[in-house]
Amino acid sequence: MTNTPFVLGSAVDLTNKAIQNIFKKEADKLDPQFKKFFNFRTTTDLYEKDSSLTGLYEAEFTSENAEIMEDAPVQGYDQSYTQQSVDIIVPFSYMVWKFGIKKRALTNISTQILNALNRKKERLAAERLTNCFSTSWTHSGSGKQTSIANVGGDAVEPASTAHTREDGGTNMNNVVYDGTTYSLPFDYAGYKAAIRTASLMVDGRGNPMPANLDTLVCKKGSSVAFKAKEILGAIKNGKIPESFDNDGTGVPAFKVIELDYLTNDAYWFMFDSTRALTDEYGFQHIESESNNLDPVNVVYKTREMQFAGHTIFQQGFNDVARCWVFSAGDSATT
Amino acid sequence: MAFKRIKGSDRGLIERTISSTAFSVGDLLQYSRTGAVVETASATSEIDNLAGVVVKATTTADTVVLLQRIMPGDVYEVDTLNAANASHNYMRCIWGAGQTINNTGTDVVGDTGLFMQTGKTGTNKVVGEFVTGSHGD
Repeated sequence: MTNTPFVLGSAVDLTNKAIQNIFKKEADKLDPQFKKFFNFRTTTDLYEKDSSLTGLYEAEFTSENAEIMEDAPVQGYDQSYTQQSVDIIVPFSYMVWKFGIKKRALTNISTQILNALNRKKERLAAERLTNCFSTSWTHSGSGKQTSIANVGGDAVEPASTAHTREDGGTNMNNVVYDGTTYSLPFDYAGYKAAIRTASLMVDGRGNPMPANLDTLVCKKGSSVAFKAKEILGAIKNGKIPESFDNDGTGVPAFKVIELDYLTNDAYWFMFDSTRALTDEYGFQHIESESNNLDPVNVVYKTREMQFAGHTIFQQGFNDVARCWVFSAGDSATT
Repeated sequence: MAFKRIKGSDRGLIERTISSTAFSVGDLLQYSRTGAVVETASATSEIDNLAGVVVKATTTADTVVLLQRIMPGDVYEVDTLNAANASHNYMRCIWGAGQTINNTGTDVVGDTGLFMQTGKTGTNKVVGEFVTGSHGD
C-alpha cells in the first residue's frame, strides 16, 4: 500500500541501483469511448435545462363549410444538468520526485492525470448503461461513494416499459420485447425483437416514430460481443444468421461498440445514431471544462510537489425512449 | 487495509523513535510514555496518545519511523472489523485488530473512540477522520 504523499519508502525500487529498468504500467490510454454513444456538447453555464414541444397529431377531414378541427402542441419534459467538478491530485515528496520519478524518467505524470480524468468519464457513462433499469445507482469512486440519479425528464429510468408520453397517451416501452418476452438475450431473435421494439416508438402525440437501430453497445469480450460478430458475418452476406437454410437476412447490419467499462456480460443496448447523438435525444455529456492540468504546486514548508488535474462536466439524459432499446439478456428484466 | 490518507493538509511528515519493531505502511502508532518510543496502537488507545500513520515501512534494524501526523480534517480510508454500514456515519470507533477500526454500530463516547466514520466505501471499508477535538465527556 502507498500512502500520500508518495515518499521514497513507498517505492524503494526507484532508488535501487541494482534495478536497471522500471517500467510505468497502467491501463491503456483509452480513445474516448463514451463519445461514441453519448452526445457530446459544451456549455459555459453551471446549470443547463432543456424542455421540448411536441408536434401536432394529424389533420382531420372537414365536412363542407364545417368548423376545422383544432390542435395544439404539448409541452414536453424538463431535464436539468448541473456541472460537477472531477479532480485528482498527486503529491510527491521532493526526494522521491528528484531521485525516483525524475531520475527514472517516469516524469509523465500529466498523462497519468489525464488518463485518470478520462477513466472517470468512461466509467460514469458505462455505469449509466449498467444501471439502466434503475432510477439511481451508487458510484464507488476512490474513497467516496456517490449516489447518481438515472432518470430522464419523465422521471423514469432509461430502460422502462412505462415511459410516460407527453400527451398522456399510452406509456412507451424501450426494453427489448418480442411481444411475449422482455430483455431477450442477444441473438438473431433478440435483434429482431429490438427492431420490433424500436419500430413501435412514437412521438409525444402518439404518431409513429420508429427508430432505425444501427449501433449495438455491449461489454468488450462478452458473449454478446462474440454473438454480434458471429451473426454479422451472415447478415453482411445477406444470409439468415444461425441457420443452414437459404433464407436471406431480415435485418440490417449494425455497428458494434465494445465497452471496457461495462460489467454485465449479457447486457446489450442498441440505438439509432441519427437521434441518440443529438442534443434532443439520447444520453448527454455536457462539458464546461475539458481535461485540464493545473500548475504544479510546491509546498514551500516541505517542498512537497503536488500535481493536479480537473475537468467539469455532467452526464444525463432527457429522452432515450425514442432512440435507445435496452436488454438485460435474461428474458426477464424490465 | 490499514489507514490510507486520501485527503489532507500539507504539514509534512515526522520521525519518531522505535525499538526493534517492523511496521508496515498504514499502521497506526501511539506513543509509549514509559518506553520513550512509538508502538502499535491498541483497542485502548486514546486519541491524545496517537503518534501518526506509518508512511515508510521499517524493519527491526530501524531506529526511527516516518509518520504522517494526525491532523484535524485529514481523511483516511480504512478497513473495518465488522461490515461497514452507512448508518454508522459520524459514530466514533475504537481501534480494532489487524489495523482496522472496530465499528460496532455504537458510538464510543470515551477517549478510545478515536476514529469517526464519515462514509462507507465498501463492504468492509469506510472513510473518516480521527477525532481530534474534544469528546465533551
